[in-house]
Amino acid sequence: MITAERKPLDELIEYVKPFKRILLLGCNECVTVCAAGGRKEVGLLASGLQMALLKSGSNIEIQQHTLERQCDPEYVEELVPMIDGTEAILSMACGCGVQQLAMRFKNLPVFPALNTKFMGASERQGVWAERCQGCGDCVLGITGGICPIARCAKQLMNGPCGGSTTGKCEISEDVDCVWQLIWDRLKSLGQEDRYVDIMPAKDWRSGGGSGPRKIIREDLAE
Amino acid sequence: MAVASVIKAQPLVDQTLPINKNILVVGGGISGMTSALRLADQGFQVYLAEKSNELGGVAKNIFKTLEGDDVQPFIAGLISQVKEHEYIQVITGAIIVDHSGMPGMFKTGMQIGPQMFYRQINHGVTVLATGAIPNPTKEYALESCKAVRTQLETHKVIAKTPDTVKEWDNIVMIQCVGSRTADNPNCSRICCQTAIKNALAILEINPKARIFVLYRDMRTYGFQEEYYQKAREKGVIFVKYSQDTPPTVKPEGEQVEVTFTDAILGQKITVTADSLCLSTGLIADNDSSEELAMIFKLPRTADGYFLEDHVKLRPVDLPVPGFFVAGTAHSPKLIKESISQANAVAARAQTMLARDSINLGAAAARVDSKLCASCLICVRTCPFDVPFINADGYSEIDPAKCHGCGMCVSECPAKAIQLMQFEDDKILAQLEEIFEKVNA
Amino acid sequence: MENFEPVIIAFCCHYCAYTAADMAGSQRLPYPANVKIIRIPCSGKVDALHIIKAFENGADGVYVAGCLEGDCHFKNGNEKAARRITYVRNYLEEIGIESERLMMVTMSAGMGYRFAQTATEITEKIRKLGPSPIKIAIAQ
Repeated sequence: MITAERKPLDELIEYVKPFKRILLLGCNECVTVCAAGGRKEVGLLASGLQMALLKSGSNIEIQQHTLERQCDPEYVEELVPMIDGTEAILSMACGCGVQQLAMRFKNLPVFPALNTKFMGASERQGVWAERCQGCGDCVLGITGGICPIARCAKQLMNGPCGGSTTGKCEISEDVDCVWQLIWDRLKSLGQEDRYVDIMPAKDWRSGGGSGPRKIIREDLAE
Repeated sequence: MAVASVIKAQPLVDQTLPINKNILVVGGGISGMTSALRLADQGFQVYLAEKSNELGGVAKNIFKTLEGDDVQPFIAGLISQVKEHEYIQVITGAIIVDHSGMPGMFKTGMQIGPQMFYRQINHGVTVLATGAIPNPTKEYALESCKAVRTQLETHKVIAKTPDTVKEWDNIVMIQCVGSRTADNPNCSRICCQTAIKNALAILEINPKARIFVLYRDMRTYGFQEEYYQKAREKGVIFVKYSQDTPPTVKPEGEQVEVTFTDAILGQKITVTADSLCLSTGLIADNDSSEELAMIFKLPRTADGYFLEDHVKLRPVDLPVPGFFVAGTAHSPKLIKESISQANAVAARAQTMLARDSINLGAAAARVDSKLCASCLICVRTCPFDVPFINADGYSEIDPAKCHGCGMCVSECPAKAIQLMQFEDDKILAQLEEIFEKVNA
Repeated sequence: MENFEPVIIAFCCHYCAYTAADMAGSQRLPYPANVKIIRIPCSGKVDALHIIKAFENGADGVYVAGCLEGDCHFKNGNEKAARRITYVRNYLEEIGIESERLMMVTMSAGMGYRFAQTATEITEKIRKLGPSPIKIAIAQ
């Protein structure tokens, strides 16, 4: 899932200040699941913006709506009948949703209300942690199912650096050294020999090193 | 406000659950035994759990009522009826240790006897009749001087050793000892009539005795007033004292000197009393009632008694459906008042037991699957693990299992859950109405 | 804003503060009419959105009254409510509303005196803080 966090209110106020009427748009997918951009957050942000602007003496009409997904054009199309008179859209989706809107509504300014953070997993209620960086060439099969790219600060591919002490990373005691985790896991799988294999230098082209990536399923693509 | 909310009200469907018709009565005093007998007489299985090793409670120390009825034969009768009843199982030496389940289907665990043998009882109705305890005050040389007794102890002397009473010339009674103070603002309700009861009994044995009752307010409510009049006619002297200038007490050998201010004479008077009786009243047994309140999740008053659901509308019901309170666990009471309340509890309990299901109201959470993002936040937040993601991939909440707390509702990031009876639009309507009035 | 009378919304848990308010009534304990009670089944049911909406509508203060620690009828709703209040207080600061205007208090159902006392204290506190900046902005 894509995770995100709301931007500071001050930044959002700067975006919407010039307008009299905006659409605040939530997304019922990833950002709802990580409690950043669902209906609830839309309601909270609308009220917060309204109050902050009222305090500074300006008035704004905020229309609230939440789409099933902002990253699909068909859902975005639902906005067409309701967008009349809207001067700008403040999107509470990830960057994909924001861009989808910007592409569709050429004459409308579209602003992000969230900072899109990472692809992550839920550790427990209210806690999400980074797990994948979309490198396009998954190595989890040889690293015991634990990703050194997403979870090592240096993205080391062949064991830990000298900063690994008692299983923790040198950047913070709260961060596990991922190579310690990988080693422990390989050991419990009885695959210690995997650790000895030297991984060649990673080809980062599949991770976006050679420009924006695209997936085309030829059987489906029209 | 309320009207604005009612405008948004929707038709609700009550949730019902099957009810287990067994009854757990906690406390084997007069109230507990009375409730148990009434319910068992109707053919319901009753488990009567008593903390101590015998039935009877505080009333075992009472011999006569104000009206002159004999208490001990009555209790003995109750105890034997309870013990012999085919539908009552008496469990003495029982300490309640845990409690779980839903209204209509409770499970209560207890440790029994010196071996702390664990036993769990399934029941649908719980009657709390845990009583109160005599206030263990140490005021007025109660512990150090032999001539100083509580009213309960005096009552025992009157009943058991009347010859002692014959030797008393002067008797002083002090009311409101340890009650109606900053520490214990409660009026024990029973002490005024107890003092009069004992005073009259003393005069019966020893007509020459001089009795002084030092009081703050005499509250002989109802027909007790007649006995108050009778006591005055027989020469009992009632002297009012104020909380600021309480009587002082000085032990003098076998006797005790009591000094108080007579409001009419405006001067201090000292009486050398052969017996000083303190009306110490009752207090809630905080140690046990606090623990029971935690186990059963029941509210208590500031002075530690169990708090009924509504003072006027539901006086014997506790807030948890299927829980009732009787006797001095609720507040200090006379024996006859405890019996009335125990009977009321039995009657209220039967309104539930007469049916095969229990009505739990309609406050259950409902998911709108069209809005649900299947984020699992409700699944994780529910204190009772009720929501689950169903085969269609949406959160589902079984209304019969839902306790109606609304925590999932307030955490749902998709606003896909509404708690019936407390829907968002009703709460928002209340808010808007308040400000419409204020801003107008 | 002369003769300022604060409007305070109290979200009261049915199992404690709401009953305590009733208790205060039957004990004839007065508390300021500034406090407007909204009943909720558990303090854990209080919605961040409803708190924010109260301020948006012009509330000068909001408090959530739940059960004493460890006494929640639904296990831990009062703890959840306390965490939520902290979260919303931070958001209020972001908006430009003093976070002291939002409080969490706890009491038991039998504490009629505490209910009246809390209501009085909070009303006085909010009175000292003055009208909420939103209320001032609405009036202008």
